[in-house]
This record gives sequence, C-alpha cells and structure tokens, in this order.
Amino acid sequence: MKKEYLHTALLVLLGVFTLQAQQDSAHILREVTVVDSRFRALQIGQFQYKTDSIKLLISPAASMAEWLQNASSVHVRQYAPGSAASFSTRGATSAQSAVLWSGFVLNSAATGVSDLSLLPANLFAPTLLLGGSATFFGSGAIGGVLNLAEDNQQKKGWHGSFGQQVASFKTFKTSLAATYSGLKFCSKTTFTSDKSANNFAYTNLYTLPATTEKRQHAAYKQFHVNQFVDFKLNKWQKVEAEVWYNKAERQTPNSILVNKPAVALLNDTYLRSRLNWLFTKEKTKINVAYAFLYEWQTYQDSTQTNMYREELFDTNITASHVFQANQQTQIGQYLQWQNGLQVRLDKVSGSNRSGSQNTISAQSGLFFAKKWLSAQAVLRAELWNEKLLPLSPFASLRAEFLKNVFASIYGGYNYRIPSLNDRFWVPGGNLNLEPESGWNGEVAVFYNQKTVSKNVLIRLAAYKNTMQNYIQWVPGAAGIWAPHNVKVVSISGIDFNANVAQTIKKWFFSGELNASFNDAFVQESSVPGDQSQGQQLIYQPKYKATFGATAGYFGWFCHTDYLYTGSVTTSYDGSTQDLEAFTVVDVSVSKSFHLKKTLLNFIFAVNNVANQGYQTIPFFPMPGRNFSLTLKISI
Amino acid sequence: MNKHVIIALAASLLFACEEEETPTPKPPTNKYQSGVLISNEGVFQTGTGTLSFYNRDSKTIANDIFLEENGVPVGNILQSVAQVGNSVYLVVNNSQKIIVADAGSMIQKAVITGFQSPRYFHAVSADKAYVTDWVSNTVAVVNLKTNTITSTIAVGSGPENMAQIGSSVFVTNSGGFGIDSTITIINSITDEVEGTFVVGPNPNSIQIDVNGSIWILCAGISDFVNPANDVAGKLLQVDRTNFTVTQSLTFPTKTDHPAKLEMNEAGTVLYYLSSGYGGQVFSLSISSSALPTSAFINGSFYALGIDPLNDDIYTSDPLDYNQRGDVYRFSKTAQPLDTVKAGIIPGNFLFR
Repeated sequence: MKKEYLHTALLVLLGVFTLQAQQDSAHILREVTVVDSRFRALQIGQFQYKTDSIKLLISPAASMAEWLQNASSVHVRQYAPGSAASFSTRGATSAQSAVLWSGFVLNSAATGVSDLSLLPANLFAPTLLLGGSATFFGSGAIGGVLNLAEDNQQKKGWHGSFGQQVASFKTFKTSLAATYSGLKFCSKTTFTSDKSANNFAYTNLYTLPATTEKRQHAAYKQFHVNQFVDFKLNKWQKVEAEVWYNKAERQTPNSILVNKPAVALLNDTYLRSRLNWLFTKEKTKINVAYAFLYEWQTYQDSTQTNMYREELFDTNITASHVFQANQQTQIGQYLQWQNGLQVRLDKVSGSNRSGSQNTISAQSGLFFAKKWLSAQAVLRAELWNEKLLPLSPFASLRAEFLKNVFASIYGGYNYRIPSLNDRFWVPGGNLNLEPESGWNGEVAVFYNQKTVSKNVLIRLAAYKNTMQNYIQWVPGAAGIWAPHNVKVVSISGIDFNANVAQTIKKWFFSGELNASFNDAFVQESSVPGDQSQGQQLIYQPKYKATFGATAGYFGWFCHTDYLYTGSVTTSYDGSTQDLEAFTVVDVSVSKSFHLKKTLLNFIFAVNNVANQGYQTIPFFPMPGRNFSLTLKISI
Repeated sequence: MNKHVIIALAASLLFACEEEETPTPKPPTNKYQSGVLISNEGVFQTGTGTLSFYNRDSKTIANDIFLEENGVPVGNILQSVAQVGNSVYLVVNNSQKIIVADAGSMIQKAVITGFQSPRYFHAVSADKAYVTDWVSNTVAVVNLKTNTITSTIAVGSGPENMAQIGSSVFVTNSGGFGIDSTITIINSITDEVEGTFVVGPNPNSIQIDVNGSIWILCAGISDFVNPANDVAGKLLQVDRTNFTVTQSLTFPTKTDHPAKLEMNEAGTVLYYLSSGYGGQVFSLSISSSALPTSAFINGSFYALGIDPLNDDIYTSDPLDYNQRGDVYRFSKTAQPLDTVKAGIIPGNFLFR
C-alpha cells in the first residue's frame, strides 16, 4: 500500500513542481483541453446528454453510476453502491456501450466493459451520446458513448478547491483540486477519495417473516489522482499530457439468498496516461496522440474454486497502447474535411487467459455546416488482427425547417469485436468469433430556443438498431461454457427529452424530463430450443423516466430528482426473476456564498426519500433513505 | 406552475409510499400430495431455485409452487428434494439451508440451518436423516423431530449421493476441490464411520440392485486446460459383503465423464447420462458385462430420474442455463411421452 501512496504523492508533486518551473505570469483565459473533434461533430443528428452544472454542484461527489442513473435511455446495474457497476444504452449491452477518455476507448480490452463505480463524475465533464457511432470511435460504440473530457476552460491564474462529503453508512468522499492557467502553461491536479462501510439496512422480503438486516461485506475504498498539463510551444503548437491513477479495494457482497458469509474481494488498479501534440494553423488542425492504458485486477473468493479445483484467485492484467492521428481542414466557408487514423495493441495476461490483438483503423469524412442545414458523411475501415472488417459508414442531416424547430436523421453501421476474454479464456475461449455488427438509425424533431435568460430544448427521437452475430456464452460438452455468435437482436425505441432553464430576476428555475421506451428483443437464435426469441433482452427495461427540477434564489438551490425504472427480466425467456419497477426520489438543498475570494458551498441531500426498496440485480438490495452533507470550498 | 402545484408535487414525492398488506395464511391443501417434484437450481449466483410439480394424471406442470404457496423464493441453487412422512425437504445448496415444507400444501414448516454446502438428503429412519455437505467434506446428521443438526461425520472429499443396505449408508466422495476415489461407509445406528473402500476416480452416484450388489458410477478426471490429461469414468459393481470390485467397466474415451446413475424399480436395469452436462441416456442390464455402445435415448440432458411407479424415464435439458428448461418424459422402452417446461436448470426429480 505504501507504494501506491508514494506513487500518488509523486504525481501530485509533478504537477506542483511543473507549476513552479513555469515563468509565464500573464493572466489570460484560454482553452486548455482538446475536445475530441469527432465528438463535437457528432452533434449532427445525435443527442448528447450533457452534465448539468447545477446538478454537479449539488452532488459534487457523485460517481458516474449515480450520474448516469438519471440519464435518458440508460440502465445502470450494480450489486451495491460502490461495487462493480455497468451501464447499457438503448438496449445494447455494457460491452456495446463505450466509455471514452479524451478520445480513447476505456472499455477493458479483457472484459469489454467499464466499471462506472471507478469513474468519479467530478473529475470530468461527462457527456453521454445516444446511438451508434462506431464509425467515429470504433469497436463497441453501438448503443451509446459516455465521454469523459476535461473542462474545456479554466479560470486564469491559480485556483484550488476542496470538497468533503459525509454521508450515511460511514461514507466519506473527499476531493482536492489545484489549477493554474497561464499564457503558455496550464495545469490541473485532482485527487479524490471515496470510502464507505456501506452497511445499509434493508428489508429482506425473502424470509418468513420478513426481516430487517444490514448489508454485509459491501465496504469499499478507492482513490484517484489525476494530473493534467498543457504547454503552448508556439503560436501553432501545444502539447498536452495527462496521467490518471486509480486504486480500489472492494468487498463483494453475496446475494441475500446466500446465507454464508461473503468473503470475495475485488482489487483494481488503473494507470492511464496520454500525450497529445496539437497543431492549429489557419484552416488546418492536427492532433497526434498516444495513450497507455493499464489495468490490474484480482478477484479472490475462498468459497469458490477455479477449474483446477483451487481456491479462486483470478488475476487480470491488461495493457493497451493506442496511437491516434486526427486532422481536419476547412474547405471553403461551409465544408470541413476530417481524417483519422488509429493503431491499437491490446494484451491480456493472468489467470485463465493470455492473448493479444491489434487493430488499425482509418476514417474519413466530410462535414457541412450552414446556419439552417448541417450534414456529414463519414466512412471507417478497420483491420482487426489483419482481417478487414466490413466498412462502417455514417451519414446524418439536420435542418431548421421552422424558427428554432429542427429535424434530424442519421444512419450508420456499427460493430464490436469480441473481448479478449471471449477469445482467450481457458477453457472455452473461441478464436472463431465474429464481431457483432448491424445498422443503426434515428429520426428526431426538436425545438431549441436560447436567450440570455431562457434555454429550452424539447426533443423527440425514434431509433432502430439491429445486431447480427450477438455473442452469448453457452454451455458445451463436459459443461464447458464458450462464447458463440448465436443471435440476431432488434432494438427500437423512442426517447423524449425536455430541458427548460429560466432566470427571472434573482430566481433561477430549471426542469428536465427524460422518458424512454425501449423494445429490445431477440429476433433469431441458433441455440436449439431457445425460447428467448421475441423476448425482451435481459437487464433492459422497456420503460424509463427521469425528472429533475431546481429552484435557485440568492445562492440557495433546492433540487429534486425522480427516477422511474420499469420492470426488468433477467432470464432469457422472460419467465422468471423479473426485477420489479421502482421509483427513487432524491432531494437536496444547497447554499453558496462568497467569503472574500472564497466560494463556499454547503449541500444537504436526502436520497431515496420514500425509502423505496429496490434492486438492479436480483437479490442485491440497494440502500433505502440516506443522507449526505457536503462542503465545498473554492478559491 | 403555481405554488400550490409545487407544494402538492413535493408532498407527493416526499410521502408517497405503498400501504403494507398483511399476508393472509393460506389453508393447507393436498394438491401436491401425489406427483413428481422437480428441483430447479435457478441461475447461479444471482438467481433463485424453484420447485415444479408434475401431475401424472393431467400431464401438466405447475412451476414456482413454493413461491406461489409461501410468497418467498426457495433460495440460491435448489439442489435436490426428498420426502419423509408428510414433509418434503428442499436442499438449498448456496443458501446453506434445508426448507421443510408440508408435502401436500408446500407450506413452509421449518428451516434447518448450519450447513456449508448441502447437496443430498437421505432419510435413515423416520426421525433421522443424513445430508451430504460438499464443501466441508462431512455428512450432517439431522434430527427430523427438532429440525436441527445434531452432529457431523467426517467423510471424503465432496460427498454427494448416498445409498443404504441395512444399517450401512454408503457415501460417494466425488472429489470436491481435488480428487477422491473412495466410498465412505457410515453406521446409521451409531453415526460413525465403519470404513471406506476404493473405487474409481470421483464417484458421483450409487445404486443397489435387486441382488444387493452395489453399483457405483465414477466421473473420472477432467482437465479443462489439457483434455489429454483426462481420465475416463468407470462403472463399478461392488460386492456388498467384502466391498471388493467384482466388475469394472471403463468408458471408451478419456473425455467420457458419466453422471446420474439411476435404476428401475425392480433393481434390474441401470441408467446413466454419458456426461453430467448435456449427456445422452444409456441403459444396461445388471447382468451385462460390457457398457452399451449406443445411446438408449438421444439428446442433451442434465438430469435423469426413473419413476418407480411405471419406470418412466424423466430427463431435462436446461438449454442455455438461463431460461426455463425442458423436462422430457419417455416410457421404459424409450418412447417419447411428453415434454413440459420446468424452471431454470431442472436438476433432480422426486417421485411420490
């Protein structure tokens, strides 16, 4: 453990020393981070669910799992707060929903998924993009993309902040940040820690009679340290570097149907780093980047055995090297030409698996933007272990056909290459797996009005997604499970989003409503006797709605969040184990005020006000009513 | 939105809750008194086992009957079910318990706890039973009057099925976390180990034939990493008097790992699955001196049971182990009778 703290300290010191070394004393507000141009361009035809700054202010210590829970068309499932959490978008699986970090796909090459509990929302400005976009981001971006990017602006000079949250179940969340922004140099150092005994009470309805029990073996602790620096080399060039280290130690609770004491432990260590060189001159922008992504995980459970009949101690070590080059050139007044190249090498080792893969992809597209009409057409080609995958095109159009009223349409081809576990797991890994793939499209109409005091967005979208070669692990001879391309899946649905924000004198009001219908079912299956055909996919609610409202006055904010998640089936034939629909209501009150140059925020929150018992994985209860008190100091 | 609407909305959000209903106890019935109980394991880790009831007369199946009658699920991994008198015993492996329910109504009467990994239940008398405990390498002695564990008996690794001749109970030690090749003999009067005898690697099931011979099916050894290291299973006939192997039939290929040895009511015909996961049904007479070379019933089966009433053969196909499995019924001449949908992973049958 000492090594980890030493590592952390070194990372922080790196930022501090670099700040001391820089000589520039000018105070100029400047952009410090590249927002992935591919992501910005995708605003044509696709909906981006952005971070509500008020919401982040009110719950500054929220994890990405908590933040995404209130997003549209997204389902988050987790064993307990802080434990392994995954998300799925628009009927796609967790592995078909990508997480990006400044343009690099973070989904584990080994497992194919990202753990939302290990992604603190306050480190970044998260954005959720709905719909398939593998043409831009590559494998896995089928249902949607969660993009983690730095705030694109910082205040000039030195600034710092400290946040501390104390919450129910002995939960403590701490954040520290120091930023500097100058003419030639910017830096941001962030540290967060999060730990909880997580011993919340719940009602066990599965005993006769029902009993009130405390959750056992669900404690966790984790910390992150992130160092970002940006050097401006000259008028046209700059370099960015970022290092992000995360370590987590988590107990894994048992199903409450299992009476034996839980003993499983999950340890995660992540080291992510990137280096970008950016060139901007006249009508051309070039971004060359390299990232190294490393993950080390262990899962230990003395009550289970591995295939060697030994006590289970599973290790996963995955390392990825990613090289990217992106270029965009303005052609004339309205047209932009974008090109991208990515080379990626993934390698996994550890218990039960050992293997690697490489991908080389190239994309090219034209982007047209006029006041009332925008359009784009992009094509991607990818080599996966020297095998050429089907070309992946994407086209979209957006037009303002009445004042503030828009219509948009897009269509594209998406894919996901199998994870390294799918291919190399011993026993059962299947080297003959084909990538999942299919067409995806959306039509939408929306109303968007922006004035100084008012912002209104109302959007209605209908989407359709098909997936061939859907991968599922199925049992084979001698009970050895193996992944196979067994299904064709059809997903269609409707999203409705409405956001209104208005300032009236010293009052501020905002409201947000998201509602979605998602019909995701199996169209064909090659599993003999499979009754899943025509059934809703597991862990995909058909109905979901969220509502948020905020009122502000003189630094006071009052906020409420309402979440409704429809029933969810967890068996392929939809026969049993349905998770019941649930509603969760959170409320909070906050007060912000200045003390000279210091901004203070106090936030008091009550979560799950109605003390609703609910689960997102069968027999793994989530907490009832709970409280938190947060103080944030910014200078 | 005026302030009254806001206040009303806030109040509804803050205080909205459902009224609690007081459960009304159901009167006992005998609707499950006669028929076949099917224990469905349920999805591993995140699921619950279920209990199904097959009515021989109407040829219909009722699923989730324990949940239906009691309002609570069985628990994680319903391994097996047994009956003593008017009580059925649901052995719930991962929940480390045995539920005692009324055999006619399936209303829960008691819960026996204190196990680590209970697998199979064997009644040695009207008020005493043995339960194999796979992880702890023990057999628990259960007092059926008090529904408590009175003692435990150390046996071999991974104890599974049991059979009895007189006061001798034979426990198959299936290997557990390693490999075991022994049968433990327990004296059911003293609850002490009388001895052990060696058979083939990883014995998993046992039957006593009409002549009193002991038949033991050994799974062999599976090496998932390198199947070349596999050891084939064996079917052994053992003399009941001196526990020597009188006949040893080795399966033809290394990767043959048979399971689920069953016997007809007359004790003259043996049945087994060629694999514990997706095996075919094979059959042989107790007078046979060789293993059958062709399947008695083709298919991909996980469970096997022989109805003592008419020697009908019950099998199950759990499909992908995450949806309701099929139970196939065949006559004793392997003619298909019918197919019904049971719960997730139908694993064992109890014929009553």
